[in-house]
Amino acid sequence: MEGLGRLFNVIPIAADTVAVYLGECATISFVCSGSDTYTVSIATAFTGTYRAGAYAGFSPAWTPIDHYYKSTAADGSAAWTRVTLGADAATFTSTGLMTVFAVHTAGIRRLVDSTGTDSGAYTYIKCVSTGGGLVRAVTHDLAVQRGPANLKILSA
Amino acid sequence: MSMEGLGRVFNTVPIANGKYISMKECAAITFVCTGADTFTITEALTSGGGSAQGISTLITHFYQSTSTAGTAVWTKQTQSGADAVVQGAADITAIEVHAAWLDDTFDYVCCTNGGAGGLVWALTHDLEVQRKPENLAVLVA
Repeated sequence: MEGLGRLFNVIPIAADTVAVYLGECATISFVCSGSDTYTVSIATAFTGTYRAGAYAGFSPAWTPIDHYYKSTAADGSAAWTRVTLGADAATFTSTGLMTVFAVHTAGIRRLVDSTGTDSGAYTYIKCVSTGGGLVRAVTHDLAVQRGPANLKILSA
Repeated sequence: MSMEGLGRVFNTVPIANGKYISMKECAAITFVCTGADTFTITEALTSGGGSAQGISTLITHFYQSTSTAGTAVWTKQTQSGADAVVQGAADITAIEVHAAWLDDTFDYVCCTNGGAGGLVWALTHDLEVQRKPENLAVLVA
């Protein structure tokens, strides 16, 4: 069986406006290239309102990232270095030419919007790069392993 | 979860066109390519491409999608065995190569576009040893 669908699913062009469905994976890793600021936001529906970490309805604030990995080369010729954020956040700036960070769905699904505006489960995520850094998405720890042709469309 | 996907499930090279990637610590690699282009797989003895050669007629199928942004399904495509995939239309082409296919002592594999600007992103998976990311061997070295 393929790695695609057994271990992961992917979106190669996943920056900014691209929403990724999290309902069938435990974790998403964003593989980014370019020194840039990366920010994640989430929504209860594909076309819903994407809430940032500091959205007032999240109490406490949604701050899913406490570290990331960077490399000084995007072509695989350098090692990974762990960078720990000073404070948990939904946004960070990486100086690496390659950056990988993960968001675990377990920390999202329990979120409840205290304003009552969005009462459903948050199952969609976007990653915005401020300066045009490229973003690739890898969903992994899949709930169900399927042949690639049977995978749910990730951005729908 | 105590351990990253990076280093547990996969390692990655985002800008991988023409790069010889080590398969010493993985059983398979998936090249996620974008663009209409010809993607050719070669193997080599070194990360510098020493003694590079085609992988013969081992690619008999691949997966493609009409959207690079994840808005379309994957479809399986079959072909007569080859060491390349000619992609004329679809936006994503996913080609999996197994370490077991490589000739003895050929530990590096490369996906190269045919000059039309197709992008290549590499994911090594089925890792022999799961390590935290900073302990992973450099893939192109």
